[in-house]
Amino acid sequence: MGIQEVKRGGAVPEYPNTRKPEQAEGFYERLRQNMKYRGREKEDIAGTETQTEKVKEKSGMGRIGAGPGIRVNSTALTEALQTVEVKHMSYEESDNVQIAVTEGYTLKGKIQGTEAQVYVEAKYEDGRLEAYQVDTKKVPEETEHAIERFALETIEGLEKEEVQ
Amino acid sequence: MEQRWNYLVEEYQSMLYRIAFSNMKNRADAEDAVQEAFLRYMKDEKPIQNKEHEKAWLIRTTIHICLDILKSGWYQRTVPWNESFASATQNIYLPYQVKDDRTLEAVLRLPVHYRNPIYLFYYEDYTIHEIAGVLNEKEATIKTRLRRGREEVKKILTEGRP
Repeated sequence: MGIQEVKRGGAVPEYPNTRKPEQAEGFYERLRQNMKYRGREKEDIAGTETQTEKVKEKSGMGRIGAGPGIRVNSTALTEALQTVEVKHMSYEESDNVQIAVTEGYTLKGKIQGTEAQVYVEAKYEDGRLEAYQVDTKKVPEETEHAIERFALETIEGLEKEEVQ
Repeated sequence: MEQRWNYLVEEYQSMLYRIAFSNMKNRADAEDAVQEAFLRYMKDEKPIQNKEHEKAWLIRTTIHICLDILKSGWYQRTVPWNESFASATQNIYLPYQVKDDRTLEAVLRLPVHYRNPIYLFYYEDYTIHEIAGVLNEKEATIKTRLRRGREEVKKILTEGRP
């Protein structure tokens, strides 16, 4: 069997299942509508995120000290606790050290010039390093905040040493 | 030479001893491992770039020596004079007061791939970046080992399993 040369005429052949021009217009129209809808959806998502941020701000969630195992007491946070620059203090330089392996963090504390001020450096399991200045006079005695409690312990430790 | 030796001993002996002790669990073997690390450092002719490099080199070598001793046929055929885990916390001579001895005991019971990152991170205050350099691992690996090691410590403390 030999090879036959197929010759076509000048006209474009009509293939089955090919969209006609009117159908293509319909497709573009639907696409335009979808794009519009998508834009609105994005705006809605952005709105939800802003709301989440507001909730976070109110509750104190995600703020400083919200690392593993550290509960944030948002009201005390503003009064007694302030974020400061990390000094990279060693254990030897610290007045008090707390190693919380099961909670995933370490705390180092050093009493600053005035006795009520404690510099606290926190290192978290994920590698974050944060530092706080705690004014222990403003910390409520029954505080459940790990960093505030640690600052109070640091001051108490110094007082005990002075008594001995 | 003697001056260099004195400097090494003064600067790193305590820290290296603690790391060796956390692996060997007895004083004599830990001291042997540290001495061997110092000897290798003195014999090694590779240039040391800076102090951090020197420290990392010494820690890495000490850990390798400990692991070599633990794997050696001689060590596996003999019964080491293991001090109990309770006395281990007293023998480790940390430069600060450890309030929770039970946790340190649990850390010392961990398998080696969890024990060294956890010990260096929490008890020697190393950063994840530094530990990755010392142990020749990726930072992500160290983070995973810290997380999994912490879970293992919890299990040891709650279930009391070795």
